[in-house]
This record gives sequence, structure tokens and C-alpha cells, in this order.
Amino acid sequence: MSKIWLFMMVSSLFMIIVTVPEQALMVMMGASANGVQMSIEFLGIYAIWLGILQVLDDTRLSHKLSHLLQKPIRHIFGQTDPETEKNICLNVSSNILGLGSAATPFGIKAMKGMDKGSELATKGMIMLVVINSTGIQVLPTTVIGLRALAGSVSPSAIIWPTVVATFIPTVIGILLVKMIYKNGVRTLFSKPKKIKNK
Amino acid sequence: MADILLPTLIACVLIYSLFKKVDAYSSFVKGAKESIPLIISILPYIIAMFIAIELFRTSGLSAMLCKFVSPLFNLLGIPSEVSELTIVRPFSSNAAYVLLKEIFVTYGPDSYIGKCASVIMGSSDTIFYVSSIYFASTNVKKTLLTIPIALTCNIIGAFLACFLCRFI
Repeated sequence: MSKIWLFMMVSSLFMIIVTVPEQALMVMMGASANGVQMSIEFLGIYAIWLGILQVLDDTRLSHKLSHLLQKPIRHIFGQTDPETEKNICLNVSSNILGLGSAATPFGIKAMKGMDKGSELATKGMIMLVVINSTGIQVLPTTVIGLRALAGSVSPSAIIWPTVVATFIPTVIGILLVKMIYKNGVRTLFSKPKKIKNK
Repeated sequence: MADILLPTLIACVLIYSLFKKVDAYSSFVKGAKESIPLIISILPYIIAMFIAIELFRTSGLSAMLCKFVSPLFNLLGIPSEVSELTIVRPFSSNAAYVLLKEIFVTYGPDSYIGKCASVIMGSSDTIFYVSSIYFASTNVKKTLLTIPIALTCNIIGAFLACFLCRFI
């Protein structure tokens, strides 16, 4: 991550210095302000979902829910503590419901739970980020809404291809993470060059 | 469907808390309080990511990357018209939505291109953003193969999207 960031910053700044140097600072300040504004919006969204989660927790409903999904989660993520299992479970469920922004606080809590203080990402962490990146979703609500706005005759025609096009990459992602960890090719992990190929 | 589902779920949870004799109000407030330290801990990461992404776009490097990668995408059956979307999507949701709208205006939402773009949009996420804020709250410095794997999955997803859209 740090390498990608550094690479993006340095190469972009270099390009901007050559082409439009007067814009560099303005763009940075604009982006930063945007980030702050978005964080405040997220604060509101996270407050709602973490609030509801606490109600779920205090009624012990969330434990029942995570108990239900315990087996597949253990199978995919390996052994984690019950609290993390619950957060993973909530993260995945909200993703499936198309609530990307609700999934984030649970995902972050799950990541914290899996953090053992090491500098290296663990299998469970990589798994969670990969699953969230493939955007497992059953109802692509925003896209359907946009299609309808654009005057589509069948806005929801894209549901099944979307489901298939998320499900298969998610499975492939899970298998890839599992495979790489099984072979224990730890040296493979320190090759950042792969990233820049894309 | 989705419009009814969530409020119903929330209402059910609240009614359930009544039966369980749990003070839903203080529980909610207690939980909501957690969002403040959470957002404070990820805010610097969001800012760092936003600046890098915005600079990357303004510098024209992202456009160059598109030009460079789109022939490769063509080989996979991903049309040039949606390759920019495929590339922008992992960086920024907002920018991707702008592109999607442009594609709808130019090609129409029911055209092959329009459908491909919709599926690509719905079937992937902002990888760079997700991994930066997910790792933000941990001690992890080395994210190892997270991003290469996520990107691979995204490209497979885009390929599948363009393939499946031939049938609808």
C-alpha cells in the first residue's frame, strides 16, 4: 500500500510539474477537503449502523446470526475469536444487501480483531479485503437506479450477470488467497512489482 | 424491495429489544459513540488516498494507463468503451459513476456497452480505498498480495461481465 501511494504521488506530481504546475496545490487541497467532507458523511452512516449493531449485540441477536454463519466463516477465514466472527458475518451480510457503507465499520472492526500487532497482513485480513473488493452484492441498487434514470426499458436486466460476475471472482479470490497461503510461499509476498503491472 | 427490507429489519430489531427488555436507546447511543474514534482513526488515510487519486487523475496518468491497458483488455473481450471504467473503478467510485453516466448518454443503458458498464460497475469495488481504510486501523505495514489478488479478481469480473452481457 505504501509503495503504491508513493508511486502514485511521485509520478503524478512529476507529471503535473511538467504540465500544469499551478494546479498541483489546488488539486491537493480540494481532494483533502473532499476527504474530510466524505468522512463526516461517513461518520453519520457509521453512527447509525454501529448504533444498531449495539442494539443487536445487547439483545444477543448478533451472536445467533454469527452462530448461523460460523461454519462457512471458519472455513474461509480460519480460526478467529467470536467477536471478529460476528463482525465478519455482519460485514458480509451488509455487502450482500448492497449496503457498502454499512459494511465498512464492521469490516474495520473485524480487521482490528484480527490484528496481532504484526507488520504483515494475515490470511484472514487479506481474505476480508479481497472479498470486499470484489463487491459481493445481490442487489446493485445504485446501478439499477441510474439505469432507470437514463431511460432503460429494463433497468434490472443486469441483476443476474452482476450476481454471476461478482460471485465467481469472489470465489476465485478466496481460492487464490487460500492457495497462496497453503503453499506458504512467503517470499512471493514481497514482490511489489506485480502491482504496477496493472 | 430493498426500500422495504432495511427499515423493516431495523424495526424488527427494535421490537425484539422491547421483548428482551433491553434499553434500545442507550444501546444505540453507546454503539454510535464508537463511530467517532473510528472515523478519526481512518480520516488521515482517507485524505492521503484522496490526494493521491486526485493527483493521479489530474496529471493525466490515469488516462495514459487506460490507453496502455485497453488493448490488453480488448484481448479479453472487454471493449475499449468500457476499459476506462474498468480502470477507474478500483480508484474512485465517484469518478466511475461519472463515466457510467457518460456511457449511458452516449450508448444508451440498454446497449451492449451500456449493459457491460452497468455490470462492471455493480460487480466491483474501490479496491485502493477499501484496502487503505481497512488496514488503517491495524498495525499492518505490508499488505502483501492483497491488491494484486483483488485486481485480478476485478479483471476476471470485468471479463465475465462483458461475456455475460452478450446473452441479455
